[in-house]
Amino acid sequence: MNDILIFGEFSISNKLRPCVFQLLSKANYLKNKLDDSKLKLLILSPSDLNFDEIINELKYYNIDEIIIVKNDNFKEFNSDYYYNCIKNIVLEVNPKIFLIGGTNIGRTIAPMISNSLHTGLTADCIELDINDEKNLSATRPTFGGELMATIWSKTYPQMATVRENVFKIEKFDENNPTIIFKDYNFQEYKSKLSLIKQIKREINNDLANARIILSGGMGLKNKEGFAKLENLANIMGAQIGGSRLIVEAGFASSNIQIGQTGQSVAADLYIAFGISGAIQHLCGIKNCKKIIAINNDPNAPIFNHCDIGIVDDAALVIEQLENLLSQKV
Amino acid sequence: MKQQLKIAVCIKQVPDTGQIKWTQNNTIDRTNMDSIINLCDEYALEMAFNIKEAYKDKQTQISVFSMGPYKACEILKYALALGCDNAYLITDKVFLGSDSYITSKILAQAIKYVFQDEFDLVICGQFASDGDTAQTGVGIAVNLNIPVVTYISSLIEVNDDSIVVQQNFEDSFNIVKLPLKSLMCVINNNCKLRNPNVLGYMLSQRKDIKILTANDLGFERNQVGLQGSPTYVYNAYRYNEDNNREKKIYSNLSSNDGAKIILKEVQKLFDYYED
Ligand SMILES: Cc1cc2nc3c(=O)[nH]c(=O)nc-3n(C[C@H](O)[C@H](O)[C@H](O)COP(=O)(O)OP(=O)(O)OC[C@H]3O[C@@H](n4cnc5c(N)ncnc54)[C@H](O)[C@@H]3O)c2cc1C
Repeated sequence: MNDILIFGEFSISNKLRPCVFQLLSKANYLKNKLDDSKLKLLILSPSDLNFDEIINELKYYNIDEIIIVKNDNFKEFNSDYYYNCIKNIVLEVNPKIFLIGGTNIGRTIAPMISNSLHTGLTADCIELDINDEKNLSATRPTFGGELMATIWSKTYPQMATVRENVFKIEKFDENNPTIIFKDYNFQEYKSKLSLIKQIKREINNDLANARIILSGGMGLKNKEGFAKLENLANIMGAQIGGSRLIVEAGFASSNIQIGQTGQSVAADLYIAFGISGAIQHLCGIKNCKKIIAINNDPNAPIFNHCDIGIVDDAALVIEQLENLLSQKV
Repeated sequence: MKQQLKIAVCIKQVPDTGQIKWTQNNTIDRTNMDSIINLCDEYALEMAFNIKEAYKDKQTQISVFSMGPYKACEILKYALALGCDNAYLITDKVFLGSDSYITSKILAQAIKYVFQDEFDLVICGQFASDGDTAQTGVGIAVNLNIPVVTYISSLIEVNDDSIVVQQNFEDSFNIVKLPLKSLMCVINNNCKLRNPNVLGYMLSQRKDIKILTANDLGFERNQVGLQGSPTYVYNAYRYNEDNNREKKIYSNLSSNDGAKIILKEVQKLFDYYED
């Protein structure tokens, strides 16, 4: 039982989510550090889905085995059916490590499985490794944002969730994974949960691919302060982002949150206005090429993690930027 | 139709992250840091009251649970003042260091202890601002063996034996029906929260907070706390990932000059894109 199992979550349009490929990439690194380990992918699917294209895509990740479980109850997400099936497959496969994307679905399923199998789960990891004892070593920021904590688990499978875009996709030489199709039988079991209606949501993927991001934190003080930054981003043609506190305060919408529990970004230029620089925020921007920070506190930690720092009032700088830009056009 | 509805709400006291002050060596200045009720849990309480109001014909009783030190009585009192009927503090030295797997177990056991099997709904915040594992609510559901719906943003309607809610996922809004006897995890949806009024405060003065210990709940020392938890922190270290950044800090520029520096960087990029 040295195997690594990955949960292959579908998006609403029946494509594997990016986090699946990202986890598979990282799993290759983990697998190489384990003896005699197999990399397995678990996919739940409705009966009529065609897999040719999906399997083709999966040939570049050194996967040993793809387990595809079919049942019409998997047409849409139902935590009861997913839980019931995944739990049984995990018991059967008996992996050492079970990794799940830190999506809404992943973060619902993962604790159901870990609690029912009486095993440990580390959420929203930003790094995964294998320790000297050949076990999973999962790293995430600690509360407050000063320190990183490396977490070990005494029980198996060792479980972790990782948010989308935290890891990069890495492709390998083509291989031919063993494909196992399974029908799942729920017998008499019927979930008491039902989906009445599903409304597709416009996904704001602009942040993950943005080249310039203007990002605001509590230093912008209020909704108006943040709106001014949004306006500036519009003029500049940049994307807008924010810290968790500004989202929690209701000054910005939650889909623009950047950081450990928001999105990871990799812009060419990231400009942080009034953001203190807690680790949870920093780990979401570490892949940005250049970081500029504006903060009126010279002790703000973000000044240790930027390329250019400007100690000043964020609102004043925003105002000046707007002035300069309006002179240009 | 059942005339009674029993709701359990689980809440947590957390440090107020809005107040963090940094010292010169980048550590947190912990003096004067306040404790507050976790934000999502305020929405969990709001949800409980909304459900109570929607069920006009039922007699609804809301009980609130918190696991933590004695200080957590503060948020339980607040919940009572808002109009909760009973409050339980789950506290014991041996619970210290419990991870979310054990915390779920303890909270589920407390709910069973208080209600036996006679409850209809458990409502939790989706996550806590100090840990954000988002595991505890779901874990309670597994321990109680009841269905769970996560990421709930609002109540749509109540029926005799079911509730309809909106669930927010990344790529869809789901309208989900859940049965009575299930667990809801609620997110912050920026709706207006109620405040305790004077009458609420006065009535809450007469209500006691009941204490539940490991002994009451039948836990042995080695089953809970650090010892019982499957995960543990192996080590903690400072984050130095970005030590290769330039860190050119300007501290005495006019805002206009600061803005010019920023624009120069933006312009560099545009020139680069155009080439
Ligand atoms: C489990 C967990 C997960 C988390 N996930 C995330 C996440 O994904 N993303 C995230 O961002 N955070 C996350 N956090 C929160 C994180 O720890 C910080 O609390 C948060 O990033 C701080 O946001 P902030 O910088 O906007 O606010 P603050 O820390 O309050 O900083 C505000 C900054 O503005 C400066 N300022 C004040 N006035 C002005 C002014 N006039 N001009 C310029 N500057 C000014 C201040 O000096 C201060 O540095 C998480 C925390 C936990 C515990």
